[in-house]
Amino acid sequence: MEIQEPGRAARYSQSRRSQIGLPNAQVVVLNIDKPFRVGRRLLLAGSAAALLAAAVHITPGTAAPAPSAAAREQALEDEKQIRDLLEEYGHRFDTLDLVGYSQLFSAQGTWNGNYGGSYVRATGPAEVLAMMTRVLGNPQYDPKKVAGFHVMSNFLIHVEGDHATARSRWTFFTRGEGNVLAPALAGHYEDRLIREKSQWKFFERRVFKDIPTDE
Amino acid sequence: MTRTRTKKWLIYAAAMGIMVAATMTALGLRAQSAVAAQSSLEARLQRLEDEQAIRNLLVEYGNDLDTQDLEGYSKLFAKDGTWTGGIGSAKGPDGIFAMLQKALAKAPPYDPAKVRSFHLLTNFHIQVDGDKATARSKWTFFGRSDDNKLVPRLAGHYDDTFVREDGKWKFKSRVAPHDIPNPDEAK
Repeated sequence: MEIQEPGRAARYSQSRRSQIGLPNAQVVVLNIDKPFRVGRRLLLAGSAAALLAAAVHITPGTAAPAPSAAAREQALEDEKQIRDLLEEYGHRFDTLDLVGYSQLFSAQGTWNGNYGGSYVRATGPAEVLAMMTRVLGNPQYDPKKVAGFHVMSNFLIHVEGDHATARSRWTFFTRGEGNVLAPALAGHYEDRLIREKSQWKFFERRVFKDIPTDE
Repeated sequence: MTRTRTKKWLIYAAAMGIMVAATMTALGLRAQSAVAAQSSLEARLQRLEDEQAIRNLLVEYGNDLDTQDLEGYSKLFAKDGTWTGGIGSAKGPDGIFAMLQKALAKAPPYDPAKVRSFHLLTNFHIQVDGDKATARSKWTFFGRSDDNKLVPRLAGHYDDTFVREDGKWKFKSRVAPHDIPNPDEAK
């Protein structure tokens, strides 16, 4: 059996075959040519299908591996809302709105740190409120006799869906002896936040006092 | 008769042709304006994200400095990024790392239980322009006195330029002038 060069010899007509002395091998011709024809049809059908698929999928917004504009906008809004929460904490603390302050914590949210001379871990708004009234009593805020305030700064917030982490600084100023403005304490917060009923709340707030150091 | 009818059909056909063309043009224009609106929304989103990323960069700088993470600090600068301030000037992450290492050589390592100082960073004003940006902000440096009290020591501001390098915002140049106490009188 001779093996023919499929590309050219297989395509010669019967008369040309006898002219150039090729055997009358119709079976061979068909067998070699068939895969090419099938392949071409498959190719055509495949390209048609691909074109159709492309036409269907070119409609905007369908195949999007990158985060959607809506998701990106949501992440920006979340970051802003968490920044507001960190500042609101300071505002409610400074204006002695202790109930409002405690409500910034989620149902299982914890406050962790040294307060009133001992380490405290309060869980949920009720315990947080109890901790505050234990240390501060039930003071009334007097805008004419402000005792102190927190400067909140250095916010670093990372949002991941319905959870987030944050790190920030607090610097506490007081009205010192002789009615002068005096920096008194400074520290930082390490927080975990949670979206609870579409509102960002503290899930865990760890309060660190940096200066003065505990001696 | 036949000629008039043919004429009529020709007019109908022409009218239909114009209507189809007009509809297609209108659809095309609508698609185009939708793309334009989307790209302007994309541009606005990108600007907000960039502004946020740069705000984080300003704060990370402070965190790295206050915790003496010199490597992390120096990597916030672009390949040819420069730092200029009270302790001199340096270029590129390696140069900036070396400068800080020299400046802090005698300082004890960072101990979270014995914090000696920190930078209060405020008044961020950031302007993004594509892959470049500028910012101005304030720093107030607080320290712990020998008798363990919180004291404000220095205050100044930052003049920054940024560049987007491999998809991340980096300092292209940071100038950190001291404002109070006045550096000339302090010497």
